[in-house]
Amino acid sequence: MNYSEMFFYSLSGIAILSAASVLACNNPVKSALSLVVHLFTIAFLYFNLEAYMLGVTQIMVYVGAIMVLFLFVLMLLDPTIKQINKTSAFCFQNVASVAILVFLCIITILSLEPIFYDIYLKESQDFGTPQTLGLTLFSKYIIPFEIASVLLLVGVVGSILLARRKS
Amino acid sequence: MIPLSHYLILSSVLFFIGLLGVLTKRNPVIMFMCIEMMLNAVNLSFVAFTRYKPWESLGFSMIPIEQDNGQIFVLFIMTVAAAEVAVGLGLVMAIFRKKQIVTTDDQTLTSLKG
Amino acid sequence: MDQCIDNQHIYIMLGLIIVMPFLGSIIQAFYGKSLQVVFGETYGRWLSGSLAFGFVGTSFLLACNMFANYYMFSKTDPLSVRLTYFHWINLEQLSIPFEFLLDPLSIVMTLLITGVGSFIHLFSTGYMSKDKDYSRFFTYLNLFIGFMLILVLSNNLLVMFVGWEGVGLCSYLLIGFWYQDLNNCRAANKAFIVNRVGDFGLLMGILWIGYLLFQQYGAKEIPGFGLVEALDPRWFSYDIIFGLIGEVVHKYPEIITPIALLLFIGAVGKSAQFPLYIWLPDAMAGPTPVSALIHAATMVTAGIFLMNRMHIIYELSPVASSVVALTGAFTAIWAALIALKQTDIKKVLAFSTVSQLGYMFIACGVGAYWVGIFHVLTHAFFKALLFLGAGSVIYAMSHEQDMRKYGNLWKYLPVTSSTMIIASLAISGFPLLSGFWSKEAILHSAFSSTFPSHILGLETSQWVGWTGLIVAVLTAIYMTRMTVLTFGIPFTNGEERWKTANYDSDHHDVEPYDREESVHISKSEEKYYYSSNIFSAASVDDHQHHLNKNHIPQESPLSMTLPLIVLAFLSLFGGYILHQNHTLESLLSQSSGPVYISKELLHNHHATLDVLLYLSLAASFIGISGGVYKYYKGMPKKETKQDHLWPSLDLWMKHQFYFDDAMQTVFGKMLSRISFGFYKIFDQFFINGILRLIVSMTGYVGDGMQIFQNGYLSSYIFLMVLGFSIMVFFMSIMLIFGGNL
Repeated sequence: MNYSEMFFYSLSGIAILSAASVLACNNPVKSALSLVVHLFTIAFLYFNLEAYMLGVTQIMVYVGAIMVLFLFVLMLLDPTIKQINKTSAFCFQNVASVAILVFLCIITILSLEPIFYDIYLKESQDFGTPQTLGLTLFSKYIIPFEIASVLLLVGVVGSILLARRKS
Repeated sequence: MIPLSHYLILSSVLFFIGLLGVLTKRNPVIMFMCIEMMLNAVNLSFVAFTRYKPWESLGFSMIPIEQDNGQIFVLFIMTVAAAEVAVGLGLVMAIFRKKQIVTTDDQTLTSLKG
Repeated sequence: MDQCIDNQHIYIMLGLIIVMPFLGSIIQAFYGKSLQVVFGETYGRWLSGSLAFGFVGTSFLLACNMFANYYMFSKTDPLSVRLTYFHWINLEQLSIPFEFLLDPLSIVMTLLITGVGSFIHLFSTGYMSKDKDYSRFFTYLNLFIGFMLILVLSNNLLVMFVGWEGVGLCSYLLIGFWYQDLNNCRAANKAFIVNRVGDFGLLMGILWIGYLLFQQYGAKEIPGFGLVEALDPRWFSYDIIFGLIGEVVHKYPEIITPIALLLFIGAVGKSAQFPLYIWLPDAMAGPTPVSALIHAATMVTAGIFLMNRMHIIYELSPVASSVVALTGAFTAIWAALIALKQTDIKKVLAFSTVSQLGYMFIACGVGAYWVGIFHVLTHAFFKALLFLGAGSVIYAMSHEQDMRKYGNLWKYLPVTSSTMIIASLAISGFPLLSGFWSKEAILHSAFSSTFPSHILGLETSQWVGWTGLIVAVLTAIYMTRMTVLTFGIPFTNGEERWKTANYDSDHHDVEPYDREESVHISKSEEKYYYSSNIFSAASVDDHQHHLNKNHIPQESPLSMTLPLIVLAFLSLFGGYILHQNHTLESLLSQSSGPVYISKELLHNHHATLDVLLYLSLAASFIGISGGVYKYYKGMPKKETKQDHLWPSLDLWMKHQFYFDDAMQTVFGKMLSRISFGFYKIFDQFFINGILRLIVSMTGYVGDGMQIFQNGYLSSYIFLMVLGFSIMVFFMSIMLIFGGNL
């Protein structure tokens, strides 16, 4: 087990544990902090895959922006929302869904296993560098990029409209 | 060496944990967090696929798949997720301010039943 | 039978004849009102009326031209052309082209329709001049002419049916022309519905003929030979039918009588024979020119035309022919008896029309088809004249139709009265006038024909002939009665009668639908009736003036008297011209196609034939003089039980033998009871029950499904994920067991 493998498996454990703790924590703020850990591990997994640009973006966007937004909203709704992090009342549904999901998880993984097991990392130059990514994004995907920017603008305007107080 | 399938297993496990959260939680903010987790799980599999290029090993080289498509997708998913979170949290704020409720199974929200 | 003549001239000309009235109708419909707006009320109406008259007149002139070119001077071989304009239905096994047939019968009918039609259009420009819906009237009238031309000119039973239904529609629209009066609407509905009964029979007959030919001659698989190609698959075209029906009947002799009777039901409906005549008297609710054109001269003769067209079928079936003759004879005497006691001038004429149509059916029934058309022509002349004259009288008398209030109109309406007297003499069979010739021909053919059937020891045709003679007497009596009451009798109690008449009481008791009205109107309808009158008072009905004591009748304008004069000349000499040298007979008998009954049968010599001429002359004179004797002093004061020989018969005649009421009872009450029963059983129980079951089941299913729509967000997500999971599950199974990606 070399360095890369150790890095991957430990990161996987941390990711799963932090994801579980998002669900397990009673305090929403603690859930949010667990999510921060989770997103960080995902970013490191990107680094492990040599997708450096994406990893940095992940940290900046998710950990830097979205999580702050979450925490901000949680603080704003305090103290009411803080108290409620219980699971939903539909016990039967929960049990059923967990059963189905576990079953499906196994099915899916088993079905994927024989196909993708033998595929290993190959040598790849400038895979995740900002240069390659930027060139692709601003040449071939320029129109989706612009549309995405418009979408963000709409999201900003919409959230301002929704969240502002009526004067 | 880490096979591609391990990344995929990790990704699916994270996805289903997120889905379980969405199903069971009744705090809308937590539900949003779980949705973010699901999106990140998908992103992870995207990046893994792009990195490992399974189509080359499996003999699908006939299909012209660009090298960085997966990463571009991840970027767009992040954008959409950011917008979604912004609007969704705005909605949560608006509902809270109007009705003073913070759970999805509140009686005032279930009035839409058929 | 038909010669294929590649003649562009005749092709275009026939097309123009048919298209002209439709064109006029469209112009009237879309630009009639704007004409009045652009050119002002007076000139607009004048222009509109002249356009309407012009289109039909052009049609008439073209028809005359065609007749002169192709028929007048070709005595050896009269033209019979089939002209196909376009395909209506074109299948492998069935072809129904929009085709027309020019032969002596259709050209004679065309001349009649466009000729009399254009005179009546001219009359209408005067008669309707004060009506609000001037151009709407001409829209319908032109449309009627167009459909009637399609009816008579078509070479195809289904195209003929288009015209048949089209004229029915126009008749309905024109009877209900003053639609704000509920009585008119009722009359229109009655006409339309009663005609449906006949049309049903006609359609059945047509389809049966087509099916029979298709079955016998259509393409079919014969083992050993392969597919046998069909003949020309125009199963509904006359030339195909007449060419093949003989063979079919030879194979299946029993099948022709029901077909002939079904076609006859159609003719009975359209030509107002017993028992479907009940619509025609009520149809007099329409404007008088309509009664003249549609309900006397042209449309009601469509049945006679059908008999003539399909005469081969009737010649093949003596049973059906005797049914036709007997129905005609019975209707003739029945309607003549009713006409004796009517007091409404238009009612008298209506029943007279029914009676005369019965005459024509007698002619068709005894095998003298051309005589039927002969009587159609002469009857069109004098009956159109009578109706137009009645219209002129009604116009002069401020729309009063009760003959008991007329009298001494000779003094005021010289043209109208002289022409009407000519017409009533003609219809009474006065010697050498047109009615005399055709009636004489009918009686002659009735007495000289032979049927295999006997009734009470006397041959059927003898019965029919004697009935015809009696009807001739009755016709003369009631026509004289009408004429004398209208134009004669200067004074009663020293005053002209409209000055002394009682205006309050019996103004409406002459109209039977009014009488029914008071009985059958329910509360809600009554409300509608009166409210509709309130609405209509402002908008229409400047035609409903009321006669008052100081009224002075005035002669109608020239546009109304000119048609009267022309028709009077035709009534005087038309019969003679057509009868002379057997003009019409030789023309029409050549278009008849193969005849299966030998001519000898028709010339069975009876003792009666020798004296028939004297008998019918006597009938005419007895009738006229009897009528004059009885009515020269005016209407007998009390036609009641005390001073009459057969009081009850008298009353029955006055009330049309209560046939309307009987029909009302049978179909109005009994049938509605039965329908109510069916409604209860089938509609309420079965159909509604099934519907309710479906509805309640849907409700239960919905209630069951409501569990999932509980408003909880997590529940919705769960369902979504469940569905998605099932999809993924099946995809996974396909991935695992399918073997490849």
